[in-house]
Amino acid sequence: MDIAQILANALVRAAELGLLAVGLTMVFDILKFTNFAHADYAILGAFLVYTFNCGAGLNLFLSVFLAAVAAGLIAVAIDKAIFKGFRKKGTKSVTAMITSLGIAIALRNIVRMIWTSESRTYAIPIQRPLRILGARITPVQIGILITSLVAMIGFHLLLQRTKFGKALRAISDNRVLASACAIDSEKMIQWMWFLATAFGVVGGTMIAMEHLLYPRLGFDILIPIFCAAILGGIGNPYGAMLGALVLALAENVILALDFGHILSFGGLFELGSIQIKTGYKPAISFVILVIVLLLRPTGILGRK
Amino acid sequence: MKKCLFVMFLTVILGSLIGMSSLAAEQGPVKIGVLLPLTGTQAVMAEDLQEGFLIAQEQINAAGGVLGRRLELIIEDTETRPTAGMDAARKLVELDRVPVITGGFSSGVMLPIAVYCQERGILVVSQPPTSPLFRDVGDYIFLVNVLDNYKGKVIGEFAFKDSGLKRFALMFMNNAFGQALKQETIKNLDALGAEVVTVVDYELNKVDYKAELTRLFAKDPEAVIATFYANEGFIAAKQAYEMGLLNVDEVPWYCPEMASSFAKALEEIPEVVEGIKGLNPLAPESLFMKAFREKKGRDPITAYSAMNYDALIMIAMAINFANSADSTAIRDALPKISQWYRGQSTGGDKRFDEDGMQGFGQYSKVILINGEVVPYPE
Repeated sequence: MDIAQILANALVRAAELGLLAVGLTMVFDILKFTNFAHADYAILGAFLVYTFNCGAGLNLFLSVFLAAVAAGLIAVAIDKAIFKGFRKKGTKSVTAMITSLGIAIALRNIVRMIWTSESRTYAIPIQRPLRILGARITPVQIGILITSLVAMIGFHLLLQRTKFGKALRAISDNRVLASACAIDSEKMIQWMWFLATAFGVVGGTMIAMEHLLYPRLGFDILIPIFCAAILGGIGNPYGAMLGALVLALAENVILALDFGHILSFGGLFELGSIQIKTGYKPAISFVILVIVLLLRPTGILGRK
Repeated sequence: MKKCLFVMFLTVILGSLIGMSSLAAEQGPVKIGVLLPLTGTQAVMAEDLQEGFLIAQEQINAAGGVLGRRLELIIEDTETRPTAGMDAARKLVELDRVPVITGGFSSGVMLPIAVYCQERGILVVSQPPTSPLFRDVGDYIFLVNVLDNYKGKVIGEFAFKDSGLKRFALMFMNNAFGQALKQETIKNLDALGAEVVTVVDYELNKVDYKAELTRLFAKDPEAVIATFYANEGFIAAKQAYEMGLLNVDEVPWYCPEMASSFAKALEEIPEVVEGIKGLNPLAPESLFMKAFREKKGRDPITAYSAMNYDALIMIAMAINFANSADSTAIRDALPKISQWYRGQSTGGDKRFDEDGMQGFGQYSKVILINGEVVPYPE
């Protein structure tokens, strides 16, 4: 078993999923509903990156920045048009959740209408992998790891060291009390939408860079993102990061394990090779999720 | 009395409306349902797959249509997914009331549709699906492509004899097509005396296949046999290359379905899939190629385009032969038509066997060179 390679693969996967899971969990933390449209906001942004990068010929970093801002503003506009009204009326969170599902489907089809259903790639040539600590890793993957790390640290500092972060945490704890303390909760909620979506666009773009960009990509990545957010403790951004890492490790390590070798104590007696069939890969993360939730119903870092 | 007169009046009106509508149906176009992967993982081939049907439709209508009526195609998107495919089939059967559904593209998508249509007596003439499971569905199901039994045998022999190697690792998708093809390939490799060291099943529509690829190479296979759809083929080839696992000089790769597996990879990363060998349906005959080039100004990217052409031409001939657009009548005429129809795809012989399966099509050995699928010299 090539441990270095398996760890490298898991880290890259966690870096991609982590940013998306953080955005998803932020919305839940503040607004108390699961935003099914989160991945589709991210993919809309990833398509905007494609247009800026491959259509207008802009630098990739600038394209990501512009797309993150544009998608963030779209998310704010949708919040103003739909969810703000729900908040005023005190509509149940299940209604908001179903509405977000509708928004997801609408966004997916708008993307398909504008960019067609053809799958696309960014203007990044195929890269030969570098050998680092025994693992093969491409420059793009190193970029993904660094970007994710920087974004996570930035997010931590924003949350812990700024007035904005304090206000956001106050709203998360008790929106009414925060408003009584002169915190403009509506303004903060709009900033939260903007940030969650911008993070999502960076994550979505990284996934598309590593693989392929197509309109249904948001739907295809939604389940692992949900899984990561719930696993880490829904509502907790650090939990979402940890959940993504656990999920990525589970997917990569468990499939590589030879249980026959382990159960025979390293081949002390003949047991043959026992490995989980790769066809069950999607189930692995859910089994881990169920086990964690049984032991700790609020997720790994969830609040009690 | 008034009530009785009103009921009679209503009956007369309804009766004439029904009569008018059935007359209109008999005088209007003959509708055929077409299922295509317009979106989803196989969308890269959708344009050419559709063109096969459109060329056939134009030729049929230019020659007077069917039963003296125009042939109309109602095209629906399967999204290359079973659930969306089933929704599309239901719409064609229950709303459009088509007597025949054709196309479909993948066995995984078409198999439940075939069962649904068989139960309702709707004729299915599908291509390119190849799963042997279709054989047992029923007498309303016809396939215009050769079954996986044939492909599994040919790819096994090709990989074994061409490479001269004995330890194979297999990677197939977890659906009706992939699993049937996998079983046939394993059976034939076993018969040849080769060893299958690893079998990897993978789920479609995922963005990360690194764990599957790690498993594929965990037991140091000497050669790989793998098949994909277009998006999965691109992602798997790219990731295998980046992980240092795709080097055909060290470990050769063989693919039983080259056209659908690497269509996207050939467009985007031809250098990565360079040297992969495999099978493709035999190139279309010149009549179809000429018609296609005239319309599109290029060659089709997939031979399945010609297979769709053949399917629609045979359906139209069967309708005229049966002198009816009724599903059962067309079904009874189709095997007779296939006995003497000379097709444009897979060598031209389109005869169905007693179960409505295609028994005589041919696949050619090909290799990917400079972004092109070229014949592999024997």
